[in-house]
Amino acid sequence: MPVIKFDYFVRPSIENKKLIGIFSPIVPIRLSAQHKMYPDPINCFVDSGADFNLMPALIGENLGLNIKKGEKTTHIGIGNVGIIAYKHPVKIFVNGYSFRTFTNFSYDHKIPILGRYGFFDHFKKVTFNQKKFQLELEH
Amino acid sequence: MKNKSINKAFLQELAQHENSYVLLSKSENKILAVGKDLKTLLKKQEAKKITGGVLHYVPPIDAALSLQCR
Repeated sequence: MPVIKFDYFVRPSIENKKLIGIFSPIVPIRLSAQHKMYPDPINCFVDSGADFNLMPALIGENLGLNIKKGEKTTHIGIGNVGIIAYKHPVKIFVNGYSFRTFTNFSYDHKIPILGRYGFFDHFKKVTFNQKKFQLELEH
Repeated sequence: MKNKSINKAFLQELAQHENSYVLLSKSENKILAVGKDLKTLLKKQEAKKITGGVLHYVPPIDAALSLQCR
């Protein structure tokens, strides 16, 4: 079975007033919609706690999507803070593997997120290898 | 946390751009452009005709990430 492996991305954080690196499951994807490809790969957090994919609305606008025409939905996170998002069909490319799926776009959200429905469910197995700091995507 | 190949200089550079969008080089150790928001970054990219980067959001560095969106 083909497995795509990504080393975790090291992002800056503060711990005890010192700058440290946090190893995070962030993967670069290509995103297209309406036969238009976003010009650059997009680093996305792979989030097993997220039900759905969620992207900043401007990424969708750049793809020519009329964001507010999509199905309206509310995303609720920690602290029960809700944000409005709009669902649109997209195509996601991960290395040489691609699939049609859906992504929600929000004007109130900055971090691109890949969730269980829309991303994880297009793979046979998703492994967060915390020993190797690697994300393994089997398809 | 294990100390697995952390590029401290790059980490410090990224930290300077918390809560911003950056365009990283494909090797991910160089920042090609920065924007406080995505619109600003896209404008800078267009003006400087920068291509071949990876879009990345740098979250605030003094906050833990608990995304869990549903």
